[in-house]
Amino acid sequence: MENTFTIQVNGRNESITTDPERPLLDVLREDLGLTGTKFGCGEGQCSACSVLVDGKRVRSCVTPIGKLAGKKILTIEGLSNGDSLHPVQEAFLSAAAFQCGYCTPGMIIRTVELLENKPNPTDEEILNWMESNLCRCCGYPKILEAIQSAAKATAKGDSQ
Amino acid sequence: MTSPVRPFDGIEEERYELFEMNTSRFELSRREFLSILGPGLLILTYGSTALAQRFGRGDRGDDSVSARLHIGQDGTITVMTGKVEVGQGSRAELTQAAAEELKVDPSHIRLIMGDTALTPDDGGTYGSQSTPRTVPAIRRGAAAARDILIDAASRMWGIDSERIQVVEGVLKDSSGEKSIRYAELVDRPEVVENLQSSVPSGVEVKPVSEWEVMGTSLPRPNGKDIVMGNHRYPSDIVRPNMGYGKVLRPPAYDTTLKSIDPSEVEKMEGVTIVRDGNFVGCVAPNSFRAAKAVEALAKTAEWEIPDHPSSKNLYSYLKDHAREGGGRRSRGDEKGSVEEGLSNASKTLDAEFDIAYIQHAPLEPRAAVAEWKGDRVTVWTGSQVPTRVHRELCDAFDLEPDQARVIIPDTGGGFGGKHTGEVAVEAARFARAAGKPVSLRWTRKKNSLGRIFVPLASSKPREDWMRKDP
Repeated sequence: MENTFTIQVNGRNESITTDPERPLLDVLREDLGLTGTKFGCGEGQCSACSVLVDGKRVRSCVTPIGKLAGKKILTIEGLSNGDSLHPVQEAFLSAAAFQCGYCTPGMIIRTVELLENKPNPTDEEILNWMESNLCRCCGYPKILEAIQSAAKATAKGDSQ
Repeated sequence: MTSPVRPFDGIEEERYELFEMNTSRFELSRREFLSILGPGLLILTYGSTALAQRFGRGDRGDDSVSARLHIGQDGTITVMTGKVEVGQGSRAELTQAAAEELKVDPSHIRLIMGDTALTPDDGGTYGSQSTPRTVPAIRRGAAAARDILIDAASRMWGIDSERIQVVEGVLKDSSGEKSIRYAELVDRPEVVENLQSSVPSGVEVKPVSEWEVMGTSLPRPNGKDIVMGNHRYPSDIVRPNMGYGKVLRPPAYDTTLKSIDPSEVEKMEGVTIVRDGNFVGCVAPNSFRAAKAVEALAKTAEWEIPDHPSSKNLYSYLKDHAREGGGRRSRGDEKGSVEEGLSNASKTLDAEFDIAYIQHAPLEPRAAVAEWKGDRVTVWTGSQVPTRVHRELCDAFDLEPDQARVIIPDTGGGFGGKHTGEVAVEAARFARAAGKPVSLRWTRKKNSLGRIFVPLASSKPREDWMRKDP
C-alpha cells in the first residue's frame, strides 16, 4: 500500500515512503515538520494550505502525494533566505496584513504566484486572483495594501 | 470530584473596578515558576480587576492575582496574562502596557499568555474586555514592580526614591553617579530580603500625557514568525513520538452508539482504538491512517438516532416550543405599560425576523495536543478560556488542579467559538490510551457542527411607529 516518492521541497530532495492517496499537506506537516502550511477546511475551499508545485499554486489538502513524484514544491518556509524575508513576506509584515495570521502563509504563497504571472497587477486583477483565499478575520483591505506594496517592491527590484 | 461548568457571567460594566486600588506582593520565585522562568523576582499584584471577568469564583488562594511579573536574574522581564491572542492584537497591546510602566523598550518584554501553570486567572478572552480590564491590571502590576525596584535602589544607595529615575530599565540617581539595571538589583539577595517592608502602598501609573509606548502603533511582537510560517498554532504543536487522533462522529445530534465491530481495524498496523461509552476514535502514526481507521469503524457502527426537527421547519419548531420568560432580567427602571402604549399608538409597525444558526468558523479548526507524564497532563489547545479547559480536564480525569496544565499558543481565530474544552479532553483521552502524545484536529465538518453556535432566533417586534422619546 505504501510507495516511495522523491519530491523536491524548498530546494531539497526528499524521499517519502507513504500511502499515495495521502494529501501533500499531511506529508509536509507530519513527515517533514513543515507546519507553516495550514489546514483550514480540508476540502480545497479556503486555500490556507496553498503551496507552489512547479511554480503553480495547488491546494495541498486535496492533492495526493502520489501525483507529485519528481515535482518541485515551494512552501512558506522556503521563501525567506535565512532570516531575511522574501519581498512578499516583508510587505505583509510591514502592512500588518494579518490578525490571527492563520491564512497568511496561503495568502503569501498565492501572492508570490500572482507576481510571477502579473508583476504589475491592477487592483481588480489582485482581487480576482486572491478570491480563492479566505481570511476569516476579514483583514482584506490590509492584505490588498500588502500585495500592492509587494508588487511595487518586486517591480523596483527587477529594474535594478 | 465534579464542579459543573457554570455559565458565563453577564458582562456588566462596573466602572469603579477599573480604578480600584491594587496591592502588591513579591517573592523569590516559587518552585513552579522557577522551573519554567529561571531564578528571579516574582511580583504579584492583587486586585479585583482580573476577577471582573471570572466565572465560577472559587476559593483558591491565587484567585485575586490581577497581574504577575517576573524579573529574571538574566534580565528577562516576563509578564504573564491569562488573556489569549486570537488575532485581536492583545499581545501587542498588553506588551505595550507593561513596557510603558516598567520604562523599557517593548522588545524587552516577554509576554506569556494563557498558560494555566503561570498566568493569573483572567476568566477568559471575550466581550472586548482585554483593553478596559487587563490593560489597567498589567499597568498597575508593572508600575508596582517599578516602584518596588526604585525603592530597593533608594535603600541600597541611602537616597530618597524621588531622586531616582528609570531610563530603559536602568535605575539612575539624579546626580548621575550611580546606576543599576533591574536585573542586577534582582540578583542581590539582600535587596530582595529587604523588599518585604518596602512594598509601596499606592501605585501611580504614568499619566496619558507622559505615555511613550502606549498609544503608538506597535507591530505584533511575533509578526515575523507569522509571515515566515514559523509561529506554531495549536494545531502545529509537535511532541516527540506523537500520534494523530481522529474521532468517530455520530451521524446526528444526541445519538447513542449501539454497537461497533472493531475486528478489522484492530488488524491495522500502528492503530490504537479508543472507546469510552459513546466516544470512539483511533490513534495512528499519521492523521490519514487515523482517518482511514475511523472510516472503517464507521461502516460497522450502529446508532440509535432520535427524531429531530427538519432544518426546513426549525423556525416553526422554535416558535411552537419557545418557553415563556428568559432573556435579561429587569433592571427595575421600566416605566409605563407596553400594552397601553401600543393600544394608544396612532400607527404601529410589525415585523418578523428569523435568524439562522451561525457558526463562528475560525479558520483554524479546534485542535489540541495532549501529553501525559505519569498522572499529569499538559494540553496545548486553542481556547478563549484556558481556565475552563483546565477545569474540564480535571473533571474528566479526576485530577487535582496542579496535575493539569493548559497552554494556549496564539490561535487561528476564535470569534467566541472556542470557549469549551471538548477537543482538549478528547486529545487527553487519546494520549492516555495510546501511551504517547497525541495531536487531534477537528475536521471542518465537526468544527461547523460543534455544539456552540450563535443561537437560532425568531423575533416579532411591534413598535409604536410615531412615538417620540420624551
